Amino acid sequence: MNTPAIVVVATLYAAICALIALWAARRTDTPGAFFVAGRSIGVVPLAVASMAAALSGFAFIGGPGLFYAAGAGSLYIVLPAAITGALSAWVLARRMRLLAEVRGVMTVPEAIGVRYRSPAARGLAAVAMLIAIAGYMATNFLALGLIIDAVFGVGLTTAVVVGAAVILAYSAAGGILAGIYTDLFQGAVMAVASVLVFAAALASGGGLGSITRDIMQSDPIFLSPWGTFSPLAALSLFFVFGLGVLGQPHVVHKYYMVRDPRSLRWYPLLMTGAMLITLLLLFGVGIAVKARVLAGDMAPLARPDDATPQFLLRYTSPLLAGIVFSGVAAAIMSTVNSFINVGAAAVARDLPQALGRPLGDELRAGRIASVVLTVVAVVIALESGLLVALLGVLGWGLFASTLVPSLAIGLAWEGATRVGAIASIATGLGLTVLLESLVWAKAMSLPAGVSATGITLSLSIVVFFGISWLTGSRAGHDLDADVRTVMRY
Amino acid sequence: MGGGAGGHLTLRGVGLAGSCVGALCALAAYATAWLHPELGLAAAWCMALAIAITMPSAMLLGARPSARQPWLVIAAAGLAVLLVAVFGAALALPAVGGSEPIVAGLPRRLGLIIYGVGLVPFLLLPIAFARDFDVDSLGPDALRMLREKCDALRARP
Repeated sequence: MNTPAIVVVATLYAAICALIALWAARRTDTPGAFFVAGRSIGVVPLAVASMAAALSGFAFIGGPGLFYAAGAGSLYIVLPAAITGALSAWVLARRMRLLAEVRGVMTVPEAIGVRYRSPAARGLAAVAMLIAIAGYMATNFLALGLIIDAVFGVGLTTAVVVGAAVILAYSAAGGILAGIYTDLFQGAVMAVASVLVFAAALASGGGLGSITRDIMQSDPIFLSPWGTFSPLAALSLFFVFGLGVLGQPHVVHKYYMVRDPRSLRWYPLLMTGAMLITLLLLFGVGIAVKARVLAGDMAPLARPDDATPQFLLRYTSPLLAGIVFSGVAAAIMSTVNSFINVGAAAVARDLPQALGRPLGDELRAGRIASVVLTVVAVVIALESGLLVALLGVLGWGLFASTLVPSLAIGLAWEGATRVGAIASIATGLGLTVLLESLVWAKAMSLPAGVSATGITLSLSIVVFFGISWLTGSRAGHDLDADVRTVMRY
Repeated sequence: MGGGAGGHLTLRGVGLAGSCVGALCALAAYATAWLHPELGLAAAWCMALAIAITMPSAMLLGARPSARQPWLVIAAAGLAVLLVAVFGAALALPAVGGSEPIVAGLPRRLGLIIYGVGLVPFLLLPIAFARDFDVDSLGPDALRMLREKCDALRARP
C-alpha cells in the first residue's frame, strides 16, 4: 500500500497539521485557551471540527466494512446524523454557552457540578468520562497505528507510538485551539475524500440503481430495511446513537468555544451538512464493494475492514488513495485530540475541584495530564488487546448513559435533583461496565436485538426521573438562582 | 413535571414527559424481546414508538419558557410523524425479496428509511432551528445584562 504517491500525500498532510499546531501553540497561554480556545472560534470551524471529532475512523474503515458484512441494518448507526445536529443544538448549545458566559464553565462535568451544586456529581461524571476516554483513545491509537504501518511500513508498535506522539505534540502544546484548527483542516480532507470516493464507488457499478439491481438479484436481504440484523437490533442502534449524541462530551463541549453565540443559529445546518457529506464514503464503499464481490469482480473480503483499502487500491488513483488514507488518519486524529483535551480537563480541573483541591497552574497540569493520558492509552493499546476490545465497546454507552440524563435533561428541568443526577450517573457507570463486561466475557448473552447500551441509557433516564421525583422537595435547594436564570433565559 | 416556572403544561413539560415515556417504551421493547423472544416484531414496534416519542421530546427540551418557538413545535411534531410513518412503513410493508421495486436507486422500503429518516430531517430541522433562533437575546448588550443579573443573584446572601 506504500506507493510513492500515498507516502507523499500522507507526509504533506502531516506537515500541514504540524504547521497548524505550531501556530496554535504560540497562542495557547491560559487554561481558557487550552481547554475552550479562549471562546474565540467562529461557527464554521466549530461545525467542521465538531463533525471531525464526532466521526472517528469508523466512518472510513469500520463503517463501510460493517455495511459490507451486515447490510443495511448497520446504517442505523449513522442514520440519526440528519437529526442529531439540530437536536443537540436545540437542547444544549444555548444553555452551555450561557453557562460559560456567566460562570466561566469549561468542561461538561463542570456544567453538571454547577447545575446541581454538587462536586460529587461532577467528580463521578469525570470518572465515567475518563474510563470511556481511555477506551476510545486506545482503540483509535491502534487504528491509527494500522494506517501508519500500512502507508509507511514501520511496524505496528512504532506506528502506534509515532501516531500517538504526533497527536500528543499538538494536543499538549496547543490544547483545543490547535485541535479545532487541525480538525478544520482534517474535516475538509475527510469531506473531500468522501465525495471523491463516493463518486468513484457509484461509477464502479454503473450508478446507484444499477448497483442496487445487481445486489437485489443475488442477496436481497442485504438491502432489506434491516439488512442481516433483526428489526429490533437496527432500531436499537438508531435509539442509542440518536439520543446518545446528547452525552458525547468531545462534541458538546465545543459549544463553550464559540466566539459569538448568535452564530450558533447556523451551527446545525453546517455541522449536519458536513456530517452527511463525510458519511457518503461509508455508504458508497459499503454498497459498491458488496456489488463488486457478488459480481465476481472482487474476491470476498478476508476481513470486512478491508472494504475501503481494497476498493481504493482497485478503483481509485494512488493520489486519491493517498488523500483518503490521510482522511482516515484525519478522522482518527481529530477524535483523539478532542478526547485528550476533554480527558486532560477532567484530570486537571474537574477531579481536583470536585475533591476540593483545585490546582494552581491548570495550564501546566492540563499539558501533563495530556501526556499521562496518552501514555496510558498507548500502553493499553499495545499491551492488552483484550482490554482494548472491552474498553472500545464501553465508550459510547458510558458517555450516553451517564451524561444524557444529568446534562441534557438536567439543564432543561428545574425539578431535577442532585440525588437524582448522582443516582443516574452511578446507574449508567455501574450497569454499563457490568453488562458490557459480562457480555464481552461471554458470561451472559443478550437476546437478539437487545442492546446493553440501550438498556443502560433507558434505565439511567428512568432512574434520573424517578429519584428526582422522590426527592423533589430538594429541587429548589439544588439549583442556584443564577443557573436557574440561565435555564429560563 | 411542568417544565416552566409556572407549573402549567409547557413545551418543556411535554418534552420531559415524552423523554421519560420514551425511555420506558425502550425498556418495554427490551423486556418483550428478553421474556418473549417470539414477539420480536412487537418489540420492534415498541422500539420504533420509543424513538418516535423520545427524539422529538428531547428536542422540546430546548424550548425556552420566555420565548415563542413555533418552528420548534412544527419540527418536533413533524419529526414524530415522519419517524412513525417511515419506521411503521418499513415494519408493515411486506418483504418481496428481489422483486421489490426500486425507487430513486434503492429498494422501496430501504429507500423510505434512507431518504425519509437519513435525509429529509436535514432539509427541515436546521432551517426550523434557524427560524426560531433568537439572535437578540444573545447580542453583546443582552449578554452583559445577563451577566450583571447573574452576578447580582450570586452576591445575594
